[in-house]
Amino acid sequence: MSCTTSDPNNSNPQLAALRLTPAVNAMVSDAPSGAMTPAAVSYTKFTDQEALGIFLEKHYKIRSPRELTSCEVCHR
Amino acid sequence: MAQIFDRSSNALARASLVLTGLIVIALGVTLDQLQRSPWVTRQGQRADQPVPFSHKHHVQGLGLQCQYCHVSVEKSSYAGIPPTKTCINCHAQIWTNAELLEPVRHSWATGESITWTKVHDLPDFVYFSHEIHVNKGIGCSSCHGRVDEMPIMYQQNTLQMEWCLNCHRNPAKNLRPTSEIYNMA
Repeated sequence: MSCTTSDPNNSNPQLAALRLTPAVNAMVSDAPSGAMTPAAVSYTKFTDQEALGIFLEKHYKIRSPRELTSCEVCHR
Repeated sequence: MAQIFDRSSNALARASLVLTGLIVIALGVTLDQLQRSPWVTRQGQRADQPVPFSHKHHVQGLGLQCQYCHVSVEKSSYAGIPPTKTCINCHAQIWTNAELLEPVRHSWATGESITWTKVHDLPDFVYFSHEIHVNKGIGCSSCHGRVDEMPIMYQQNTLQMEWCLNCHRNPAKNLRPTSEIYNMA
């Protein structure tokens, strides 16, 4: 059994690489040449700091301004 | 009955009240501005150091990473000042007889710490953690300024509560991906 062509656990495959082009796939994988990994992960480009900041606030789980301006955050 | 005070005393009394009020307001504004001035905040002042260490030379010139010296910035509340050994790693081989580095060699020989003057010094009643700020997307330059362009370290920002709250009220304007924390630009 080849783990590159079938999933031993019958679960959804985990994507480890971003993208394999057919040329690269032929060199590094024993999967059939027609098999392709899923499309690359999505990429969002931010054009201003505000949009990036709002995205990162959610992504990094930053506390709300109300919580961050509470006294005990800095005065323990 | 003869008047004790001249008629002009009315105007004088009113003028005195107005003048007193203006003096009180001016004093308040002056003190308010004074406490934000570099004289109080030490903003921009280059402190005397035992060794005139140049961040500009070591970071911009040589390409040293911040964490090479400030090792605990991602793990601890304090970023850490490097031990003398970190300096001697290189200066045992280069600039070995430089007069500027005599305090470093003395420290290495005797085991006494170099008595650096702390530049970014918060009051003892303030708890600040580098670890949480760095790991949540606040870059070094956001608070410390363009350290890579400082021949002598100085405090770029006031570090007053007002300044801290400006960011705590709206963190989005200062956040960056954690991969860019040490990007000085």
